Amino acid sequence: MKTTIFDNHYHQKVKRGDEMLVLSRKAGETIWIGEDIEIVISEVKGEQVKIGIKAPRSIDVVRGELRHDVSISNTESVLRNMDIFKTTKLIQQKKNKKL
Amino acid sequence: MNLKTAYSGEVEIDTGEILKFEHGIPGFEAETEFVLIPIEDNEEFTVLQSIKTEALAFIVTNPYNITVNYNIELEVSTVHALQIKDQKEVAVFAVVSLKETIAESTVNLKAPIILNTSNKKAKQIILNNEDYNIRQPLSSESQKG
Repeated sequence: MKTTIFDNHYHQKVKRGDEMLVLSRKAGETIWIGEDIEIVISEVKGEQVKIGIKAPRSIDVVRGELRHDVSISNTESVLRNMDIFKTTKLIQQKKNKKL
Repeated sequence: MNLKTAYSGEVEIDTGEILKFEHGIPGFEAETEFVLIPIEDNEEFTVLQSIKTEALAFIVTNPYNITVNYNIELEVSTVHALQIKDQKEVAVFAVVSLKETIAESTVNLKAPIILNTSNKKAKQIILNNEDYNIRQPLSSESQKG
């Protein structure tokens, strides 16, 4: 089991139509997801909520904004053309000559 | 099988070469199958072509070729998901975001693609390591190396 604690001060905007279970919890209270994931509300301070997650190590835990940034980066990385490799071919050849 | 690709024309691929991303990759969760296609006269970069979507392809590179001391530690979740039994089975790729020039292009060192070369199971993982950037300029890294 691993316990990951992180602060989440980002406001989640929920689009209408998205299904989401919303539960009210107080500090110290918990939520179980399935048989082996426990979410602990460890501290509530103003806009920040400290959340503890107890989950099997087979479960990935990642901050939403980080995953979102990877999604954006992947979208930006979609290949649009191969033109660049026509020019790099020359650079590569020059490089190889130097070596 | 013959595969129509975005920029490499129609290529013949062995179904055994297909990489299986069980949950896709972030932003492309429905894209579960890709194949690596070499680029002619270029050993540094490789095309990662979607099987399902002809127009969808990425450029990947070996992060160890462009970065000195690229150290990643695989989470147990990754080892489990990819059924990795030996370190030797593991191959690592970094997704490249091509710009006008290679110098302006960036590489995602924060979220490498991990491949089990034995069973072709693959996954884009997100590292907790603060040292690596999602948009690391290719040029600066090359200079370091």
